Amino acid sequence: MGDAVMGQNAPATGDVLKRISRRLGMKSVSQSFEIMKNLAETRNDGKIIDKFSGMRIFIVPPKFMSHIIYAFIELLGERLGTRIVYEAHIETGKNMVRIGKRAFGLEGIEAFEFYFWLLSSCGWWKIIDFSFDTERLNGYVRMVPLYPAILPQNAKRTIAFHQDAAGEIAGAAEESFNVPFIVKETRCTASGDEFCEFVIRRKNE
Amino acid sequence: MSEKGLDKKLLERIKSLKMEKNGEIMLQGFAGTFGVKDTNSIRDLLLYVADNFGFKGAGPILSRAGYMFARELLNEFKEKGADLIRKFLEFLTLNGFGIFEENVDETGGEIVLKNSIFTENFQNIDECIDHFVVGMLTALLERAFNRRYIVLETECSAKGDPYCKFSVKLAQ
Repeated sequence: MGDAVMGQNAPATGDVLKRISRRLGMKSVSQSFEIMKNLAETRNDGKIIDKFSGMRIFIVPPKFMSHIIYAFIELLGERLGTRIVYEAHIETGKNMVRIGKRAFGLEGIEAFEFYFWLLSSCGWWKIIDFSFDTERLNGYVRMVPLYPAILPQNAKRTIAFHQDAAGEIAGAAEESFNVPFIVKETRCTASGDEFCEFVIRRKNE
Repeated sequence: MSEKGLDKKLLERIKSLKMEKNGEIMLQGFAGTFGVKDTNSIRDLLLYVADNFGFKGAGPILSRAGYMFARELLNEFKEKGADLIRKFLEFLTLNGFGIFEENVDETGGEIVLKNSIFTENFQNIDECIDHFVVGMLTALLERAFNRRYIVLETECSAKGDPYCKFSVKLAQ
């Protein structure tokens, strides 16, 4: 069984964030953020370009995403709102993995790990645990969001709020392994859990 | 905000971001953390929602999100009236949202946004698509002057206009 593991429950040799950082010539995620800063190109037209990915970027309090998700749930209802948010982010996850493929020639589990490394570098999530079976193509990731859930008064207490991340992870997995995935948020800080847990599995299982 | 020297001001803003050891990104002078987001993900979201509801259908959702987001973010600002408008739009400009220029007072006016993050990667579509900005500006004007306003996007670079323009009118 080919496991990839990171985080506090992982063996020292399997700390993926550190390993990926080293592969990219960096000691840590915070150092990678410093490098990202140094690679930013600013222009008089108001644009900030990340030369690493070639994409235009902007800086925003993470609640930017909280309010977008909240508005979808509030106006479309919990079921449809969260589904739209999930599906709308699949392509984003794919695009993030493509950066790793293009910049570093990463494939498979390394490309998938790169997605989580990028996520941590940009101030959206703190990753605490990751386990993935590269033969069965299933696993989980546990992360603490830096954007809190905002819930409508009538929302279910057990809501899985972070469907943007769930959709992104599904897209990132698909782009990494070339098969479709389903990702379910099985624990969520919105429901009182200490972290969010995303269970990742191949779609046709 | 003037475009002259803006590149240096944007660079100063980027350099002033610090990532703490726990992975949180901080910006001097502001409480709470910050994230770095790319405009491709905004495009993906807009396209998916537009595929299902049309660009017009996406309007109420995204303008509501922008309104609520700005209402909370404005708590970080101590200014009032025209000073608040100037300071908040400068904050957005320096964070890479595009260049805001305003000509508004308590009775209304116009706000221009050049190179909006929401229209990046779009061209020649039939609708104005800066719904999130409309929501943010509505919240800003309400907070600045303590009155109700109607903000409409009248021109949009996604339609091929040279910039995005928003008309501001007092609500009756």
